[in-house]
Amino acid sequence: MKIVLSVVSLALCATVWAQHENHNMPGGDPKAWRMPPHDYPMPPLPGIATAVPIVGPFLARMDADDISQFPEARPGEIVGISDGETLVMRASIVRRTINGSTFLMYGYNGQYPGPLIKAERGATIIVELVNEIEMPTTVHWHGLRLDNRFDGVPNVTQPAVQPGERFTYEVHFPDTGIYWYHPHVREDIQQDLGLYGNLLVTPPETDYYNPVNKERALILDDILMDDLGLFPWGDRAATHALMGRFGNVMLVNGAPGYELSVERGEVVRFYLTNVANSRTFNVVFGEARVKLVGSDVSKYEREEWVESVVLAPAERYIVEVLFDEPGDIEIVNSIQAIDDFMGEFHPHTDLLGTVHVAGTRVAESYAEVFGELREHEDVKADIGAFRQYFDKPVDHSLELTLAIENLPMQLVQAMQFEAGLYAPPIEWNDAMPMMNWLSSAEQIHWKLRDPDTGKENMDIEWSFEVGDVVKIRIYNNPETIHPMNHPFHVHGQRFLVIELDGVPNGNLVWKDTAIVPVGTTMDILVDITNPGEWMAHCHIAEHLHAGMMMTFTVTEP
Amino acid sequence: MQVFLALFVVAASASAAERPSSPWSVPFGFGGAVCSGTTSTALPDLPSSYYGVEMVPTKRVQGTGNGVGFGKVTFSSSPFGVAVSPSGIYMVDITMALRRIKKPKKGFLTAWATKDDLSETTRLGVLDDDFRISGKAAWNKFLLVVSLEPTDEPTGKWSGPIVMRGMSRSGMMHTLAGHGPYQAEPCAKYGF
Repeated sequence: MKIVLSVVSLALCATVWAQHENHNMPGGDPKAWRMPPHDYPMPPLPGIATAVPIVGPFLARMDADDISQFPEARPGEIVGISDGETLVMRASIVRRTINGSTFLMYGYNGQYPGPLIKAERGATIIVELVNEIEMPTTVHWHGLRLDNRFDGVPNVTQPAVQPGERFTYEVHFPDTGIYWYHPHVREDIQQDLGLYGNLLVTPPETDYYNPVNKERALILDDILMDDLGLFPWGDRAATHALMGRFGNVMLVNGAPGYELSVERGEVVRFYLTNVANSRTFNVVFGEARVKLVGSDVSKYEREEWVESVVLAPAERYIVEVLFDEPGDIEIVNSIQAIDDFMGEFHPHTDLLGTVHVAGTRVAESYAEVFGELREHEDVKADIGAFRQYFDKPVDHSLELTLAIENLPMQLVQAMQFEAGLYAPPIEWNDAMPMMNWLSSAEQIHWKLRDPDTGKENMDIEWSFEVGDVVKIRIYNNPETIHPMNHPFHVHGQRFLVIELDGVPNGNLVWKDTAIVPVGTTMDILVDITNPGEWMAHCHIAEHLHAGMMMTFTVTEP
Repeated sequence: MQVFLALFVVAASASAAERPSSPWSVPFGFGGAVCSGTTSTALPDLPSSYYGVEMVPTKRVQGTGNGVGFGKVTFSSSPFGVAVSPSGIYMVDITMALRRIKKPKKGFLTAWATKDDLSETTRLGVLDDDFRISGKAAWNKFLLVVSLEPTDEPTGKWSGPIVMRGMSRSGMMHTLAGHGPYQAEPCAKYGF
């Protein structure tokens, strides 16, 4: 009996050791797997305490022994560009130092973030992409209703651009506002490593926006680090497929600790973009008064005072902020985090940046204009033409759900226990870091499901004609084994969120991305204007790579 | 290079064809099986009731012991779709409706929302003749309470007997200690 027990014990040890093989302990190899950082202490999952994902670890240029050979990245620059001009954008390896750790990341033109491209509405520019990173890439021009050939979706609108190769994009700017660009190949890695930047489309009208003293584009992001540097990504498939990869270091414009100096009484217009893989932000500008002006593809019908700004991944919001009192105003992400093990909420804030307000009054103050809330008649007129369609029958439906396979039993047990209890409408933090990390895109299959046909994801076949106005009902099924919020993004078109859970939206704005909280039903009205084969998908990078995407076709009538 | 492409490219071809064909018939399986949630053939009637509050009678007030009721919970109006406070707490609208109860001969059926530890309470108001009431709440976890009050004057907290009560879905959140994979983990160690 003792011999049998010993053999069994040896076999168990061998299994555990095999799991432990790449499970690097602190002080070890930064290129190996190790336990991901936790916001809250949590005992390791019994039986799989040393497990690692079924995919291998990936870092930028893991083969490089000497990272000093790579250029140090520099802060992003503003590039004003006119109709017909050409910009060369090189996606390349750069060296970054964040919170005292130095490592390799990616950058466009050696910058973090990529250059802020500023062009006037109606312009068309040429962007020559040069791929100097070690994996295929593309550029997707998020939110732009441009020519389908240049939408940057590999194997749908173009072949992926191989390392060392180039691709020429014609980028057209039909709508005023703030947009952004990013790869559509392994976004979970490439975007997280720094391949993103803003597109600021300026209006020809001088009174399109309110007068302000300053304009600033703030790109919000987070990145996952530990004492060894960047926490590795999955090589052949994304890790963190259940909840998406949350970072633990907050970045504004690619770096921690954003700072801005203003004089007392200044009004600043901020263009906010969330480029995080999964995190939804709740941004608070201290006690300063905040006016909401616009979102993804337009201004709102009317301006509103807001106390915080909720941004899901890929969403943009335009706000104006009055800094009327001297002192430091902290810009924070303010959430109710969940400690999954304890089953508790915890108030939590992350410092994003600080605005230093001087005691001296600004020479020209726009505080009086700021105090008024404008009705945007141009937007109301534009949207007004679509009100006749608000009550039309639903044209198509989507159910947001998932399937899992071959996950460790302990993960399934934990999810089963929680599934019947409570899933929050939004996952504001990674409440279960180890379980999330162990779930790869090979084991999690997030689904857009058409209940009318039973088809899912890329098997869905929807066809429209230019001029159609399409009502789509999206239901985020809470009765799955792991419900989660999904920021739903439609390429190449614009849409209105007309109802959430049957409640009409009282202040409309054109969107290209909208978050669908758990358990909710969202009705969107899509303005079909742009021919081609277009993507629609969840913009949590890991959910996208776990299958949560579809295409639809738009033809000329 | 072909292999490299296959590893990294998000492609239409990297599609559901490689995925399990029809997982819906296998609810919550284990091991190598595909697991999924329940999936209806059609979408449910609006609105979703997932975050709704089921009202349960206390049987302490005559004519209400067989009562049933539901507090419909939707996000308060917000330009972001999701309504949260500056501290990140969900702000919700509540529409409560009770059935199978009789109007008491004396007193007023009054609805309240209260934080789970009862430290804060909001009076939603007196139920109308159809036993309906609407109001708002903004706590991580909350209770809905219907009490029989001697007066319809606004007060800070109920004084009469509780007729029905229910808990927000978030109130069901529970420690993993002692459950599922942590079954052997003593919950007393964590203060439970």
